[in-house]
Amino acid sequence: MRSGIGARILALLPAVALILSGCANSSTSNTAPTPKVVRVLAVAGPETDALIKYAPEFEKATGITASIEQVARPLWGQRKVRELIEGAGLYDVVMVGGGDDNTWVKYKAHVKDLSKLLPADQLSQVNLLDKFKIGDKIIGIPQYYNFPMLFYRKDLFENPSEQAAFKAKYGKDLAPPTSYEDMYQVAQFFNRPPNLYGFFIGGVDWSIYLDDTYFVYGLGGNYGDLATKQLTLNTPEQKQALGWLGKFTALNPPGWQTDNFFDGDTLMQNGKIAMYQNWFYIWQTFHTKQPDKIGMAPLIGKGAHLGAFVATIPDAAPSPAAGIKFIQWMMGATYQKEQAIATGDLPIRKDVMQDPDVRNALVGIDQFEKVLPNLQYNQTTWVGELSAGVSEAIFKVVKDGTSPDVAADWLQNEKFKGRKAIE
Amino acid sequence: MRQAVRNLPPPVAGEGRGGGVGSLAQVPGRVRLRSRRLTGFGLALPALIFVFAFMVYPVVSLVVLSFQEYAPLRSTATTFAGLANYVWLAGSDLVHQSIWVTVVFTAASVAVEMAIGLAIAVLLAKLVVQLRSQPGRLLTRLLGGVFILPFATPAIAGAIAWKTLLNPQFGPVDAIFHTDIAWFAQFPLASVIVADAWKMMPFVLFLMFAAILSIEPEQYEAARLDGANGWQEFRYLTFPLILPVVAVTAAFRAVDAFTKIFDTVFVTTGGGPATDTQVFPLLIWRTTFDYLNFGHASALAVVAIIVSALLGASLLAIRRASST
Repeated sequence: MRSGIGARILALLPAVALILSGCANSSTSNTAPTPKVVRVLAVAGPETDALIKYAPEFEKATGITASIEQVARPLWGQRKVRELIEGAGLYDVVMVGGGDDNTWVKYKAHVKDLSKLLPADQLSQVNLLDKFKIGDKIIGIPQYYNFPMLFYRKDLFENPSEQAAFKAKYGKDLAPPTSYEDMYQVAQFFNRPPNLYGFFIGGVDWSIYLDDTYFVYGLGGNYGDLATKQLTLNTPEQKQALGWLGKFTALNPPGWQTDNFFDGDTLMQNGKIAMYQNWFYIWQTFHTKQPDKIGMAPLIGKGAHLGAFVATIPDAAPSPAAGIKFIQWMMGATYQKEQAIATGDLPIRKDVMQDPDVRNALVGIDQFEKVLPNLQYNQTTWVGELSAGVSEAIFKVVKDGTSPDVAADWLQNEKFKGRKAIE
Repeated sequence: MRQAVRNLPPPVAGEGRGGGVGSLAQVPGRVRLRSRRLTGFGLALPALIFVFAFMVYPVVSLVVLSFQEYAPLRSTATTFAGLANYVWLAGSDLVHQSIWVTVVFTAASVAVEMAIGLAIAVLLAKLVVQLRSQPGRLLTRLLGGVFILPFATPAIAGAIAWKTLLNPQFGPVDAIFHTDIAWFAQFPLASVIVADAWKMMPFVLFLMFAAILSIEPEQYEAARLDGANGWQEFRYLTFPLILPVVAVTAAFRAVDAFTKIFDTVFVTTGGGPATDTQVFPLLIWRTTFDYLNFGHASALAVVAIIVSALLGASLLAIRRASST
């Protein structure tokens, strides 16, 4: 009797498994019903908060529930790859990064071509749409634009005695710099430790890599060449960028090596640094809390790092139709205006950029407009690993005293020997 | 419990669902044995499934993946790589440095935790024994509560607190001592060790405290009658008696420190300056989630498992040697 129970339990297990697998097969073989939910993979931050805040408008208009999952940034990379390369098929919309993910999404990801799924009149309104194209295929639609700017101590720059002293020393007016040589002179001039330091660059690897991009793009370089698919890590622009990083970090406050750009925000607000480069998310805080103390100017040079979440639809999306409706709502004029006013980010639409309410809300929009056409993205498919290597090369210069030329050659010929920009 | 079982009345023939001794006696012995084995297996099955699904399968998968190449940003194909991942880590300066940093961190943080934890545990035990009055008991409970606070604080929150305390621009430590030291930049590993020891020391303290309190008071009375002073009591009585607990605690902490030091480093130094504090778990995490190179990451994880197993085994061997 007892042995019968044990044996029956064991015998039942495969049967239960068969029934369950049968149920699973039958559910997948059914015709897909009208989408009721759109599943969105996003990363935690104010831009995703805005999507969540205004999503009820989308739900009211379409009858589709927006399920927006916010993941922590460190987990985002693996999730994106699982959806867009491995075809996990859990999400209808996957947000990727505009500056660092653009290349691998173009060359590696299995995403739908949005040029065939979105109306032409809406697409024609999108600024910089070419950045998200490979051939004629549109891989994604940006949610907003954000990029780095130069922030400086406006009160010091406008102080007559400082202006006079600067002119006496350098023979020119004290003004927001327009060349790296100027910027270095201004940083040297204001470097008065321990109360004030000339410049700030965060030393944590992901943060200092971003500062490297500001110089590399500003000088007209990039990390890879899309035409040859080769790495370009020891070009003259790369070597100059390492050189400037070495010079500017010498004017940093103590402890910068383990800081990141968020620490730069605190240092600037507390009057400890004269200048630093950072994403303009912080501008809203600066100009509302310290309008007379902190000013903003475009980054020096030919380019700035593109910041945006870009909405893509995986080939394996369970409800691509719902994904399309979500993107249409997200790129619509109503949401773009609401988002710009709520977050301070630039709208992606040309018409919304001209909206008086938006222009009124975005203090400094005229400066943003100067930078917008010059946005650049990393032209390699493996930015995570690359950025850690770049950070190593920077510390060879700033810590070990290696020359920028040698450090750049080490990066190209030793650290990443045999690697390609597009792998 | 054992006594209660012993006092149960003997089974009566014909009682129970199985028909009792009389009916069982009619079943051949081999069938009965098979039936008992099957029942035992059926009862153990849920636990076996759990162990297989959450312990055996992941470790086996990890080992298998460590012999494969899988980096989805390069290729979606998973291909057999032989020993290539292990050859890579054997030749990587970053891996060597990371292992060295983690070994130094583990040795130093465990040593600091054990020394301070043991010292405070001895003092706390003395207080408990000596202050038997109501206020005395309250004081010892209060002290116990204070000491457990760092352990109860989430690691991330603790790390942020240390980063704030040691901030060279705004931190109170430099302000109090009128210094301008960027602790996490100038002394990165030492600062991380202090932050981690602060967090984990209470764990050691309370294990030592419990071990000391389990020693019979009569042994101390006898030692005092023989003229032993405080140091001699500790050296010849307390320490030898708690040595097995000390060894197990140190082994446990060493394995824990080597394999799990992550959050404190991630928040305070981010592995820097450069890669000066890139501990092994952080390197594994980066290789997995930043570089998305799962073959390399699996090989690193297998090494971490082997090193922690060796650490644990060697310290337990010391414990066995000390107890014989």
